[in-house]
Amino acid sequence: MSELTLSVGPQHPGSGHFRLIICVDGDTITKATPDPGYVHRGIEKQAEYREYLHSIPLLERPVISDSNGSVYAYVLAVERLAGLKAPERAQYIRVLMAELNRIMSHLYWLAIYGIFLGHSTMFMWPFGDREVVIDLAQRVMGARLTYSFFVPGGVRNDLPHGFKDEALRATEFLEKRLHEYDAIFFKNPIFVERTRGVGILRHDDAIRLGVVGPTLRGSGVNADARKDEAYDVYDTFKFDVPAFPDGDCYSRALVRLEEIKQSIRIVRQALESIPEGPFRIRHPSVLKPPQGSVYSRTEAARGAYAYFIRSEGGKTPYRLKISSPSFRNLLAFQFLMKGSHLADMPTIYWSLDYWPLEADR
Amino acid sequence: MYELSPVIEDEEIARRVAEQFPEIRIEISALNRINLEAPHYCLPQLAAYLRDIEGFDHVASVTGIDYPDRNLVKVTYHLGAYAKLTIRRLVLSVSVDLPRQDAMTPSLVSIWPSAEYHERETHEMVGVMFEGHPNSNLLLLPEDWIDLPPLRKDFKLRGR
Amino acid sequence: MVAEKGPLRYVINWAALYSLWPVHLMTACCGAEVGAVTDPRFDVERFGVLQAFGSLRQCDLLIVEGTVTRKMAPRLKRVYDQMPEPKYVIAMGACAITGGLFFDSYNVLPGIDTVLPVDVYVPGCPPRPEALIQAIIMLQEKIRRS
Repeated sequence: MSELTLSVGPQHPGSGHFRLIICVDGDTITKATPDPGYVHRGIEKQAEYREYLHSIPLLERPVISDSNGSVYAYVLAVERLAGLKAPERAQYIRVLMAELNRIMSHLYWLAIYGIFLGHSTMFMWPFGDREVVIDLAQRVMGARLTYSFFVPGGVRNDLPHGFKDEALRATEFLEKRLHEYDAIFFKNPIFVERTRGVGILRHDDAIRLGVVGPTLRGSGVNADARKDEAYDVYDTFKFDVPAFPDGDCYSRALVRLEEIKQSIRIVRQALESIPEGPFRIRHPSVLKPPQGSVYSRTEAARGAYAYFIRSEGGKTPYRLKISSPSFRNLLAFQFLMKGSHLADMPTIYWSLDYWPLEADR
Repeated sequence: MYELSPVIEDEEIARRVAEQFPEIRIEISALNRINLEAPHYCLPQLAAYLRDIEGFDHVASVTGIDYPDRNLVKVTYHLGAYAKLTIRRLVLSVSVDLPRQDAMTPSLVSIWPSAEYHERETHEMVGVMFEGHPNSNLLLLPEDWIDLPPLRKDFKLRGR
Repeated sequence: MVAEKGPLRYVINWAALYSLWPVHLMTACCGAEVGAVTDPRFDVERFGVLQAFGSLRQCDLLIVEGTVTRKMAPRLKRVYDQMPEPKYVIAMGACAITGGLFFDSYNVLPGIDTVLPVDVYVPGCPPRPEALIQAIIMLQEKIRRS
């Protein structure tokens, strides 16, 4: 059989803004090379020309479905550089909003997975339920997806009156819906057939390739920056880090489902125990941190997000490096797709939850 | 679960590395952050030591910073550990200083496969050659890019 | 064409505007709101806009969501050229209109009207789904009057 090179290009029902160059021999993929860079906007260079506070809307845009997750580590890094510490109420609000974003992002992932596998009900239901969580976010932060809510020193606004009851009602609604997703999707024989045993990433390969997030936890390594770094008030909450040992697409899907349940648990605990107090400390709006560098990590929905900031004492950072989870998962494409069927390509691709904007920055 | 407290464990790691590699500068800059500064020729042995003896099994990211006033480019590897539970909280940074005109350093892909795309990105953005890297094509920039590496300080954004 | 003016033109336009099919081309972050506009709350399908996940040769609406980089621009033009006539373009988001938040980047086009002819501009970062639906209705008005 001769080899054929396919370009699953930027315009394709089964890809995002990203190209996969696939060599097929008959029905088997022999080589899959990712070709990112279609949305490379040069954010790291732009951040060198903007003050620390002005970069926040810029840094939210890579992962728009989980925008708090991408900006959280930046805000923590700037706080460490400048020597600020957010008040406790602000830390609780940040954890609350970050977990709501995680739920939103995983529901988006579930919806698009439904489309990729041809289950259009699974596209409509999570997208509709995601609107419930977006409504909560709108109540607090004022926008649907891009909030610019986290700032160094706290958050921009306080929680409105009546938010706790609305949020608790929303979590009860989501839990009921998760049972229904289980029935129509996760226990659906076609879904199980298409994802079980497909795209297996073994435990030691996952460690060697340095993957992050649910891709890592679906291979049995229960590493999570919320437990390892224990930033803000995460060490006061009781939650589990789900990890499944099989390493196939089904495990990765189950990890994300469990993470939604754990996020609901954290949201409930945060709403019960949030203290009174200020939500932001006063600091000069033009931050001039002293010379030094800082490396901060948080756990966004897709994995560990990290920022490395080098400051030389000026108003703008000398170097801002963004380490996004999708970029670190790029190696998994080459590794997992080799030897699989061509029809399994969308299954494996979306189970890694690769978000091209985040990888390209 | 931890036999030693985190602060003591960091100091132990720093002491062991200093014994093995006397020419390296070691600094514990914050909680859970150790920084090493190494000359580029001892990078492969240091990397093998950190992977096999200390247990840092993957590269989280590679950063390149351009210092035109000091005429050097600093490349930093940020390492993490998954398998050894007590050092999961640690991020170890290994920095090398390279001359600006001819920035070359041995590639660590043979020791840490996770460094492949990070080194490739640093190559195209800061202009550092990684000797022995399997694929040095442009990754994120357009295929017809003929300008300077964008993250060098000589490359200025238009209108700024 | 069979009838440039007259009653047949009206029927052809009526058929076109109530069955605008967008190409599945995700350009940048506004794509999340295009996904949201098809969900049960906003439901753009009642206006005839169906997410026909087939070939682009059967689509007539190109929604350019968000930033277009220099690497993506030739591919965008190629996709536009392959669509059959009559075809329409909606520039969605501040990045597609003028480059938006990334105006000074080295890899971003300052607006897509240097590459494609645009029919409707939708400001916002990202525009709300209601704004995108209003844009589709404006486009339908434009087709009706053409």
